[in-house]
Amino acid sequence: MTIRVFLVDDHELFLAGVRSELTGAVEVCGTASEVDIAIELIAERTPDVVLIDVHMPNGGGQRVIREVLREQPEVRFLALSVSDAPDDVIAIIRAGARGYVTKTIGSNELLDAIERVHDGDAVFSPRLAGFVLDAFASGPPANLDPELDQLSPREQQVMRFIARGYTYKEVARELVISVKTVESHASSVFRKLQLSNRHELARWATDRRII
Amino acid sequence: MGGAQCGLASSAWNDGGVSVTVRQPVMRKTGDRIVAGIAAGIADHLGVDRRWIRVAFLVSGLVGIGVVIYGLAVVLAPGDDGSQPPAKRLHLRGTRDFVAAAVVVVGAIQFLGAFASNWRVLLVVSVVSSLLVMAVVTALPTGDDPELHSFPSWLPPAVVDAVRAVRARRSLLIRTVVGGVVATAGVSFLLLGSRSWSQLGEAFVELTLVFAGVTLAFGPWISRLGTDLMQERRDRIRDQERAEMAAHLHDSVLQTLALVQRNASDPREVARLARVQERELRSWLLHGQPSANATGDRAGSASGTSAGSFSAAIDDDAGELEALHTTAIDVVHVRDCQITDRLHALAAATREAMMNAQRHAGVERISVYTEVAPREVRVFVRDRGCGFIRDQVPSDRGGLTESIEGRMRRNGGSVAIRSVLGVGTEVELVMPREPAG
Repeated sequence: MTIRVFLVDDHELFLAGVRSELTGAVEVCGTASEVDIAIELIAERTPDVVLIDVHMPNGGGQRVIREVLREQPEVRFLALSVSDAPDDVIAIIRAGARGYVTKTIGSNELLDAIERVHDGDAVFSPRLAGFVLDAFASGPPANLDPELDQLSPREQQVMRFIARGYTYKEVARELVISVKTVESHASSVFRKLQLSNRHELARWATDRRII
Repeated sequence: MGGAQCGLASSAWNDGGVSVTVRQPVMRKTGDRIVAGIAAGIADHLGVDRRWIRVAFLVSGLVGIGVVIYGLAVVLAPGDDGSQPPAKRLHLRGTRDFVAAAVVVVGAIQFLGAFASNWRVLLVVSVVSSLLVMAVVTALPTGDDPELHSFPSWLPPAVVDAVRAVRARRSLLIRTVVGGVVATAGVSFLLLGSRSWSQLGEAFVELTLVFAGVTLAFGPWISRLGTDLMQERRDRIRDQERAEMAAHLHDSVLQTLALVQRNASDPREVARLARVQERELRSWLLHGQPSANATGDRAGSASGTSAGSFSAAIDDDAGELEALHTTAIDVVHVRDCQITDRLHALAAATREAMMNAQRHAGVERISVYTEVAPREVRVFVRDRGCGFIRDQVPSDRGGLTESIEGRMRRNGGSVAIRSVLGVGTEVELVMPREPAG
């Protein structure tokens, strides 16, 4: 069964480009260039995966993710943005996106990411991995939950490989573990990214009023 | 000293009619001087009869402060004959400089004496002295003329800084002096006028009433004035930012778009231009600074990025190499630090590794990862290219042996190269950081 994908982006040109790139490999079941229309159409067409832009008028990708997940928690979101500013990344992920890739990503990598998100895994681009390493760096300050606010040595290792440009498969080969294990490490890092109280993350989140 | 000033005061009369169309700064009038010509200089500056200034100096000199002011003026004011102010040539050349220095000290002592003895005297002294200080400070030459701003080398830097600060912020000084004097005067009157605690209390109540009344009457107006001013300033800053943004978009993005149109038939060139522009815009948006080498043909407009950051150095190199070849370079940084000699060497080795990957790997895209750890800095340069076998690299190719390995070794770092034919190559560079300090 092909994956049903919905595209949301306020740049029509970009929408058209991605659509033609993806057609054939997945089923593009709709597109929207405005937040409100996107929310309506996604509810109507129930796609598996939504590719969503971060910056849009009227609340941006965050609002779409929030409103849709309230009614349809099974829809997966993959953020696709030209920005790689840390606060954009953290905002969209805290809103509920399962991954974050930049728009310069190649077609095959994008398809790979869509499949991964569809399977319920998290998608880390090298930049996102670098950001995670940055945010979870430095010794633990007081009153942090070590379960949530620190990366395990293995998770750090995995993130470092991804930041160096390795795919999950290559990471698995390097560490002599299965791809499934790499995926589960990535997912657990992702959970920490969404829930952590680390002050850097919390600060960005409050600045953007997303918690 | 005050007496000498007074006795010869009448000799100032001979060229009394001074034109004041242009206000000249206070200078030492070497031609018409009794002590050092300061009184004449101030009189010329203010356009009043020199005798008044001399009398003022005499009177204030009697209680000490005039002497201090005079001494300071001698030290700070340049001579009208082209001679430097003593503060500049103060290698204590002649007796006059010694005298000038001495009067400052004597005056200060006298002033402190007056302070201790009597409130009334203090009041007069503080008012007169503050006026004089203001006069002298406003009259001293300003401007960026370095001649007037150089100081003798023996002065402690703190003093030089203080004098500079005073010169740079006259209005602040004047406000402080006037405010201080008014406050002192107020307190003095309060203390002088009241003989008992009850009187003091009454005076205090009166003062509070007046203050409360003024606040009630004018408070809202003043605060609104403040908010308006702030709003206006904010608007102006926003306008400025918008203008800057427009200028930037014009300089970089539109230029690149024009180049893209002209090179539309060459997809590699278009991709290259887009990448260079993307990098530049990204760095501008994220860090508020243009990265080096904006569109390739605009070299020279590049300004030094946050000079001294390691990741900025790598970014600059990557941007430059991207502009030269068609291979894209993805750079990810984790933490950053000041660049040092060793890290310069590391950056140079990284650049060499990036160039090798661009040239030999035969790929569209290479990945660079840098991580600053507490004790070392690690760099990975990775490609999914053809790979190579070390022993088959001709020995006359110096890039790897010399530019990377030799450079790293000389600076105490290490290199590890993993390459598999048909799979790719990864160069790992590790450089220990200098001990702190």
